[in-house]
Amino acid sequence: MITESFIITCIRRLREYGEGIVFADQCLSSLREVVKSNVYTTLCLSQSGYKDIKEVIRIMGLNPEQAEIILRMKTGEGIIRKAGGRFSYPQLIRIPFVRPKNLSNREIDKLNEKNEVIQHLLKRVKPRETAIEQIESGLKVKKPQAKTNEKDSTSNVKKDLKKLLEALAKNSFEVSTKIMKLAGFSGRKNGSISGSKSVRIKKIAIERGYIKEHKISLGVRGGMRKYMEITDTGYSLLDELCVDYERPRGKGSFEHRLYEHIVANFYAHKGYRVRIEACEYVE
Amino acid sequence: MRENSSLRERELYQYKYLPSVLQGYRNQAFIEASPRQVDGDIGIGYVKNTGTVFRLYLKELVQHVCIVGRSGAGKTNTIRLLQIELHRLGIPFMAFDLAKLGTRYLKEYMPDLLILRPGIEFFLNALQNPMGVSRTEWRMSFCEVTSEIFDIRTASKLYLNDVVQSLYDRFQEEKPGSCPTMHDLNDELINRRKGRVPRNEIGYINVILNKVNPVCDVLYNCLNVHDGIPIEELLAHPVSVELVGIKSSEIQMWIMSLILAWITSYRETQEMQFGKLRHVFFFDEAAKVLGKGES
Repeated sequence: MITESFIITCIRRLREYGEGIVFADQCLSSLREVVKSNVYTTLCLSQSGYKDIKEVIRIMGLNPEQAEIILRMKTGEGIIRKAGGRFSYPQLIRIPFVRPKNLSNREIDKLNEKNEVIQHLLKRVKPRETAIEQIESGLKVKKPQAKTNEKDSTSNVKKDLKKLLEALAKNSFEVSTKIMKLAGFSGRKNGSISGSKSVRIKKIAIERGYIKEHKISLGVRGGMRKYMEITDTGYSLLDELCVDYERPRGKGSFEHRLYEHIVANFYAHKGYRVRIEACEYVE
Repeated sequence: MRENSSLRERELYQYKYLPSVLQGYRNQAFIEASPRQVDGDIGIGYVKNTGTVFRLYLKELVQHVCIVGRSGAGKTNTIRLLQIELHRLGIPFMAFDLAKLGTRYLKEYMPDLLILRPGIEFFLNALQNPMGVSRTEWRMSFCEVTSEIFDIRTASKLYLNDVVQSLYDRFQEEKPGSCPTMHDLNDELINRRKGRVPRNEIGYINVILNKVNPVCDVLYNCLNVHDGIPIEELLAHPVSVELVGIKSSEIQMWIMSLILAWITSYRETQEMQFGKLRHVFFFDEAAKVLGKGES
């Protein structure tokens, strides 16, 4: 389906209502055919591009002698042609120079301040009401609400953060994806939320300093694994939310404690009694 | 300025411009028009090698004029001349300065010229329907212009239509008599994006927001009005809107096209003129909107 530009439709319609339009551009060749065919008077000033000159010759119907002149036209000279009417042949014209008078912004400021028409028009301008203006005018300020307002509200974010931190506090040395699953953030089953949200919650938790993310290679297939660690700020949030938790045992960096946990877990599976930093390991 | 009419100079011109034409035939390359044939209301220049002024009738100007020329060829000067001539005849016009300030320098020639600068004297509410035009009709025009200028595809355009409609409805309920602004549209889109919306809608919202947000940023004060400067009253004066400070040509074109669409809708509520010139709109850098998309 070929659709016409809305602006061209406007131009077509405007003629009947006494609105003249003066189009100006650098080259005739870049304008659409429909514009050229809707124009009665074409004035071509000096052109330099081969394509443009060719287009001018075509549109204005110039003979070789007239075409030769396009190349030699000086500033202020042009070829004008009307599409029909009294005299539809191209004419070489010289446009007199209009000497402009410089006018600075400050001068315009002064002139416009005194200009009654502008001041009258500006009185009709009604500024957009902000909350303060609404209060002043005695209106009840309504907070614009989203179509579904439950998703990103503060309480919801806090709930999700609680879920995440709870799951992480109970399983400190599990990989991120498993933690997210345990917190109910992955997959769409059983009312859990989408993967994109789990990423967002994790990002919020990292940004707010509740958790830290570690990428550790265990030397097995699957590349780097992502682990999360609750920070002191995260533990204070858990305290604030009245969540029972136990800090993971062990000292040193997260990587060190992770290896401790992996080794302890390995031997605990084999039936050994394992102790980490003098505390008994419970699987 | 007067045309040099001495025979010697005419011959010089002839030699200079028409080397292929035999001497003795004055201005042979162009058919010589009689003064009656180039008569009219608006003088546009002197016919070369004669002192005759080439004029256009007002009814010819209604059928539009196209001026083309490389930079420095005298386009701005021609436009200035046309504007002075229109002013002399009492025909109001609206011009937009896009790349350089030009029209303001005509204040000396026309003291009643209104020079409007965005955010200072020029305020526009793009969602405000013209007098006598229904909001539904204007909503469609607004969406058409916006999608055409910012290259928004049909699905997003229809979505924009829906958003604007819901905005009109909300304002009708909450603030009757008040018109939503572009900033309200921007806020509405941001709120929708925050809400639980289908993935395809998120795509539409992002497409529209990517265009609307910069417009609101660039034209913050200019668009921060419920009622803009009354355009219908501007149509009775010679007006120059200076958009030079707006460096984005897309936003400049959006303002120009929107005002053109506004004038079209407004005029359609009035009587037909059948060839009588009422107002002239200067559409500079026309190829940016009406071009083939090559430049």
